[in-house]
Parts: sequence; C-alpha cells; structure tokens
Amino acid sequence: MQQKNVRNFCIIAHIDHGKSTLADRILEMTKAIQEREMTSQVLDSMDLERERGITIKLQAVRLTYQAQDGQEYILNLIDTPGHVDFSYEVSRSLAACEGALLVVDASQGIEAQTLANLYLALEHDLEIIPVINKIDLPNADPDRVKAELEDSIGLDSSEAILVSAKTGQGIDQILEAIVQRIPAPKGDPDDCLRALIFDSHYESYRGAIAYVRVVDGTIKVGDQIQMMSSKRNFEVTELAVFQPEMTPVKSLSAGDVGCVIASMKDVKDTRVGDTITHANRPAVEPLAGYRPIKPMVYCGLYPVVNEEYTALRDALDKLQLNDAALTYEAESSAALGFGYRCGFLGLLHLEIIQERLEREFGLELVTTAPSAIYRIHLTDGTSIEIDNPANFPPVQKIDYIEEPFVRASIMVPEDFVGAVMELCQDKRGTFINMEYITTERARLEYELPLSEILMDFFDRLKSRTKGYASLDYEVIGYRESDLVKVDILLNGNPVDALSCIVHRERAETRGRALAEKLKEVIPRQQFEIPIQAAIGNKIIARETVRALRKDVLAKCYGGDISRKRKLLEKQKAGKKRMKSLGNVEVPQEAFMAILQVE
Amino acid sequence: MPGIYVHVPFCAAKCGYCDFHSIVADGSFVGNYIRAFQQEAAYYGRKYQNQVFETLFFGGGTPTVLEPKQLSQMIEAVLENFNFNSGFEFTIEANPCTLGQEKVDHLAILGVNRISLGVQTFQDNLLKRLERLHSTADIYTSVEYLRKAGINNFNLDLMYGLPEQSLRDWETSLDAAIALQPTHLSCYSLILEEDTPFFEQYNQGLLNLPSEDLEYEMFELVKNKLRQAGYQHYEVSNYALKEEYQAKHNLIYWHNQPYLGLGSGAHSYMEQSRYVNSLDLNRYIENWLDNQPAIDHIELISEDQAMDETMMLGLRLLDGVEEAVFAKRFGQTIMEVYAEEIEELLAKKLVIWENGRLKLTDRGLSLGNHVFSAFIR
Repeated sequence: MQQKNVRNFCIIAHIDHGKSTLADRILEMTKAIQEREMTSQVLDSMDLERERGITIKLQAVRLTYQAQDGQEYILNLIDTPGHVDFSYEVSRSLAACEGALLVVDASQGIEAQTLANLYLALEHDLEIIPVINKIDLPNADPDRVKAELEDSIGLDSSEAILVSAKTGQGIDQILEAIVQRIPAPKGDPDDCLRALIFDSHYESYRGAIAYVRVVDGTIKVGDQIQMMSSKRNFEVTELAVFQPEMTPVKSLSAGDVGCVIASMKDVKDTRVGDTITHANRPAVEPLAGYRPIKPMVYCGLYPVVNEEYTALRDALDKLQLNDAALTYEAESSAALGFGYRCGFLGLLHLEIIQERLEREFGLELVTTAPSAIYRIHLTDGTSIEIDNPANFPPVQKIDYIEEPFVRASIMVPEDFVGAVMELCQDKRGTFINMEYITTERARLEYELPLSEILMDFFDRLKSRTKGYASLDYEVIGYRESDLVKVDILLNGNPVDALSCIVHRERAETRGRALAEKLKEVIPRQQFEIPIQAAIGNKIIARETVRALRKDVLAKCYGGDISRKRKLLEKQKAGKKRMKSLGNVEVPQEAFMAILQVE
Repeated sequence: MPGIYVHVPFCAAKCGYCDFHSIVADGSFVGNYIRAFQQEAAYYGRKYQNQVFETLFFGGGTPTVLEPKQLSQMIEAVLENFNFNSGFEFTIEANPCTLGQEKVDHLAILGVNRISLGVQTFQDNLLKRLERLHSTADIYTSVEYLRKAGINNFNLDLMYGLPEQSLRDWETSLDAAIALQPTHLSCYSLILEEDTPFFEQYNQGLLNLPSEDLEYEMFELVKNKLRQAGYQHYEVSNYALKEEYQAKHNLIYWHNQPYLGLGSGAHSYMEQSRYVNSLDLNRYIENWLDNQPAIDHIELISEDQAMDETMMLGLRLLDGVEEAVFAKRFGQTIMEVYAEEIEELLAKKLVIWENGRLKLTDRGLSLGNHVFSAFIR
C-alpha cells in the first residue's frame, strides 16, 4: 500500500464519552471484526479495564477501508488511555498520528481531560475531527456542545460529525472524514530508520513487544536495531500488525504502524517515547519528546500475613514486566513488617496495581497512605528526597522543605464554581485563572500541592459537584512549604505506617480528624486503647477506643457443638486478618484512614 | 451417662428471630413424622439396648404443639426402646399458649418432670415484636397448670437485647420472672441469625437493637438481680434455684459428654463421632419409613478436638473445668496441653485457677468468646 493511502489517527475522549464503543463500531464497519465476534469494547482487553470503563494500555489496530473515491485505504487506529496518570503515554500515541477524532458526549460537553488531550494533539499539529457522540440520548444537546467547541477551542463546529456509537449512526461519515481530512503520513522509506515506540507490552513467549510508528526509513525482519536512549541492540525476530488479531508482516516503512518483536526481556527495553533505529546505520537525532518515566506517588504495600512476602515480590515482578512505570523496593516497617515501597504514575495507577495484586494474585494487602516525594533541605547544606513519612528527619536537622506542586484544570458547571473554589482553597490551592467556556460551564485553574491531590481530592471534587466536575493536572515543580510530620500513637506506641506529612497550619485539624477516624475503624478490644496524634513530643489530639465489655455467645445451640465451634473459629480468623501492633489489633483500612478525614 | 435429645420440628408459627429447625405443618404430615420417628427410636433402641441413659429432653420447634395422643406416641416410642436411670430428668420445651391443664396433666402422667417454658419477655408489646403467639397472661396461666399438675421443676426462657427493649423493660421482665419462683432461668441475648426475617429487617435498618453498652448493662443486670434473688449462676446464661435444679441434660453438653439425638435435625455425639440427622423432613420420613438412617453429616472427633471442645464448653460453666477430671479423661493435664494459652488468659485476667479448676473470672464471663476461642487449635 502506498503511503498516500495510509491514515494514522487516534480518538480523544473523556471517560464514559464512548470512545471504546465508537472504536468497536469503526472496527465493525470496516469488517475488521464480525459482529458476532464482538465482545463489547474489543480494544480494552484487560478485564479490569472493561469493568472500570477505562483504557489502561493503548493499542493499535489496522483497518482496511474502501472509500467513496473508489480507493482502498489503510486506517491505523491508535488507542489512547483516558486518564491523567497516563498523560505521557497519551502524548506519545498522539505523536504517532496525523489526526485525531475528538469525541464529546452530546449531553455532557467538553471535560477537562478532553481539553488537556486536545491541547496536546494541537501541539502535535494533528488534524482534529470533532465528533459529537450519544446523540440518540434524550438529553443530548448537540447545539450546546457545538457552541462549546467554537467558543472554547475555536474549532469550526460545522465540521463536527453527529454520531451515535451505540446505534451506528454517523460512523460512515467519520470514516470518510478520516480519509479526506487527515493528511497521509510523510517520511522517506529510504532514509535512516526512526520508529517511535508509543506503547509496549509483555508476553511470556515473545518477551516485550514494542508498538511503533515508523517515521522514517524501513524496518525488516532480521534487522539489527538499536534503542536510541539505552544504545542497546536487538535483532528483529518478528514484525506484525493488528487486524485486530496479530498478523505477521515482513517490513514496516515510513508511515506504518505495527509492532516489533526482538527478544527483549521486559518492557524496560522498550521504553515508551524511545526511538528505534538501525544498529549499523543509526539516525543522527532521535525523535523528540522522549523522557524516562518517573513515579510521582509512592505507597507501601504489605502482605497481611508475613508469609506472603515472597508471593508479593513475585507478583510485583510479573506486573513490572508489563509496566515500566511501576517501581518497587523492599522496605520494612516496625508496624507492618516486611513489604515494598512502590512508585506509581498517579493514584489511578496505584489503585489498578493494588487491585490486580489482590484479584489476579490473590494477595491480601495492607496499603499505606500514598505520599508525594518531598525534598528536604538539611541544616548541613545537603538535601534528601523522601517518599515515606517514616524517613522524615528530626525537626532540628531540617532547614526547609519543598514539595511538588501541580497546575490543576477543573471544568465544572457554573453552579458548582463556588464549591470547587472552596475545596481548592481548603487544599492549599492558589487561584490562577477562571474562564467561562460557555455561559454554563467554567474552567478553573489552580496551583495545588500534589500531596493534597493525593489526599482524596478527586473523590471530594466529585461529591461536591454531583459528579459533574472533571480534573486534569500536571506537575509544575517543587515549592517551599511549611510541613511537619504528624505521628500516631496507639496505646502509647508510635505506629510508623500511620505517620503523615502535612502543612503546619493544618496539622492539628488533620491530627484530630485522623484520631477520630481511627477510633471508628479500630474495633473495641479487651482493654482501653488511647489514640494520640503528635508533632514531635507535643500531643495534638487524643481519642480513646473504649474497652470491649461483652462478647460471649449467650445463645444455646443445643447439641450443635460444631456450630458453636465454627462461630468461634470465624471470630478467631477475623482477628488473624488484622495487623497486630503491639497488643492492638488494627484492621487494614486503618492505614488508609488518613485519606478519609475531612 | 449419655442423654437423649428428641427434636420435634413443628411450630404453630415461625418467629421473626428464630432460625431453629421447624416448620408449620398439617396433621397428616406430622403423623408420618411420628411413624418415621418410631422406627428410628426402635432402631437405636436395639443398638443401645445395653446402655442406660440419664436424661431425656424433648425440644423443638415446639413439642407441645402436638396433640396429647401424638405426644404419647413419641414419648412412648422413647421410653419403650431405651433404658433410663430411675428418677431421670425428663424435660419438654413448651410455649405458653400451647399448654392447657389437660395437656400438662397428660405430660405429667407420661413421666415429664421438668418443663422449659419459652416465655422470652413479660411485656406484650415486645412479645408482639418478637412475633410470639402468646401473651403475658398466657405465661401466668401456664405456670398455674404446671403447679396444679405437680410439675414444680420448671425453667423460664427469657431474652434480652430485643429491638426497642430498654434496661427498665428488661428489669420488669426479670422481676416478673423471679416472682413466679421458677427453679431455673435461662437468659439469652438475642442473636441475629442469617436467613431470618429479623436479619432482613436489620439490614434494612428497621431493627432498633440496643447498643453494645446497653446489652452489657442488661447482662450485668441479670447476674446481679438473679444472684440477689437467690439463684445460683452456674453457666453463662443459666441460673438454678438450687444445685439439684441445674439442667442435667444441658450439663451433658457442657461437660462434653455423649448424647443421642433422635428426630429430624437432631445432633448426636456418640462413640467419638458427632452427626446430624437429616434436616430434610421428607428425606427423614422416607428413609425411616424404609428403616434406613437419614444422616446429613458425620464428623469424627479427634482426641485433640475433644480436648478443645471440653475446654470451650466446660468454661461456660462457672465451676469451670476440673483439672483432675480432664486429666483422667485425656491422660494429660490442662496445663500440659494449653500452657501458653492459659498463661495469656491468666495475664489478661480472663481466667483463674481455683481449687483445681480453671474458671472464668467475672471479666472473662463477659468476654467469654475470647477465652473459648483460645482453646480452639
């Protein structure tokens, strides 16, 4: 197929605006997949993704389309993740395209995430095709959405295509628009090879598979290739495209999208954003935009039963094969025993990993509250970075502390502007800007400490705006903050895993709220348990879990001794599931309590 | 010596909190049940023809929903097939509204010498809340029937921790119970059981149960009031006016001694195994009419398990577990088997050694589950 008959495009959409359903319809319409074979939302292949309605891993599918001009075209649909944690991956997949479908829900309008990704797409000079989806819904208001497209982004709304991915209405117009409006890829097939890795995944037999867009040159099976960031060389054993099942090809040349298999042992060899070139004829310059992935959020993962420590490590090993963004190293906590300090791109990433460990590997975990990376400047002129409150140095050694800040963009119906501003204020936010996208919807910009975002910000934003607000943020750097460590003492003993780093002005409120919350989640035991919050030696809050007074099976079960025994066994097992700190039994949720305090 | 338990799985109506094995059945079905039961009694009677039994307990359900003739058939089936000690304790459970003078006299003639009355509470509004069929007035008339028939050894079952029950309510019931001078009182706290209407109501937030603290106050109130009234607190939930009035049949359970269960759903513990007769009434009837045992589940009790259960059950008694008796039965002392657990419980002041017996302390009595579960290996 000639380069002029290739179109590379992606879909930009907010969660729930119907990206996956739209992709399914496009696959059906181009006969890439028979209707009866469709499980709904083919592109989201992991169960967890389908369940949560989000896309974690992007993929690429090659479609063949007979256009109205009588010619056959190859359409490469590159799927993009839809969440703020994965914005770097989004930017790489955008870089692999010449055009993007901008999907907006006809009743919801533009959301913060959509806008953020749209700006990214415009930065990459992509041709944008606005698509207004879900027009079959009774509360659809395409005219309002059109107005938003014009007013907020300056798109020509007459170019917007009205579709219902559910019923299939308008899909044919999208396909024609892709052919007519999105430019064909450029790039010389005879030039030095430069292929952009926009995703990778691990398979146990093939090793790491790199999804690439060939920008210049041609790659063939048997070629010696080089990863330009690491300078590591591999031999190409297979090349393939997805239709959507994997189909081997002999070569991929400028403009093509496909995957490269070259006996790479894990996804660290196929870093997203890296450039593949030929070992014997390397390109002079790599493609722009590569950056190593760096975790932003850390938390401790501990097995509830110490014996599962090795099983946890094996599971993390397996997940990391497929997830270059996941980092972990062994740590130990006086309270929780042996576990791992794990780094994640963001909260969603954390939740997904945690859930997969529990679900796919059957592990029972205690997760400590997520932490940002703090930069602590010491009085001796040196500085350290900590991602765990337990490593907070003694106060007298600290000169000053810096913490990461983000710029958050929040889209919200005007009725909730006040509530959102209040929340951001509460979270130590600095107001930057507000603009009305339409008369009913505003976009707010705030600068906030990342740690406050980690602290349940998203849930609270959703609950204060009845779910209407959407959030996007990017880290903008470190700033000095007056931070202190709040310790929690149970029965007089400090519990390292419950410590947290908070702003001095909020330390007392937070400490009090945390003590109250712990009082709720720690069950009554045979003795009174004092819960104290302290900064250094100063106690700032105190609560008491009162002693359990009555716990005795009073009912007579006649001769049914087995039943009595089973009831007691069950009670005993419940106790085993709790972490025993000194002589206090603490349930797993206590370690996340900090996230639930107001 | 073992006891015999007979299960009568019939009631006039099901109460909202109850998950015991019983149904509301018509006459012909009951007739079939009794015929199956007669076969079962004959079968085990032959098997245990050389065994002397110590107690007989008819429970349910509500045994007294049966007609006098049906009661005779069941009781005679047991008495004709098994040997009992002279003067053995023969208890039957009864609900106040199922008794009349004639029926009670009839029971007395059949040899019943102890009646356990399902009173639950002396307040009509709470009785209604529990979906009981009887009224407070029925309780008084029932007790009169018992006395007239010469059955002076009777127990009242009471419940606390009921929906909307106050401490004052509970005290009222206790006072009323004491005034009747029963020889025995059982005071149970309401336990929510799955698959009962109460459980459903609880999940919907419609069951206003007393707080944990109030329930504790209620538990304390029973102890204090009944002890003051001259009752001997001998088991977590049980009180006797004199030692001779302790429920001998239940003592068999608490001493982890053998018992034979007859009737659908009855539990047995004979020859180191515990088994349950089929809960499926149709299966029970069909099998026994064909002279085939109908057993749902058999569990062989190991020596270790028997020790654990001896502790778990025996510690429910305020007299506790006697070291010498335990050692004689198992060839090891309590301390040899459970040194570590006992040290911990002693340190927590939940148990105490007294006159060669390991007993619950007052504190241990309220937190019994922690003690009992410590002995389950």
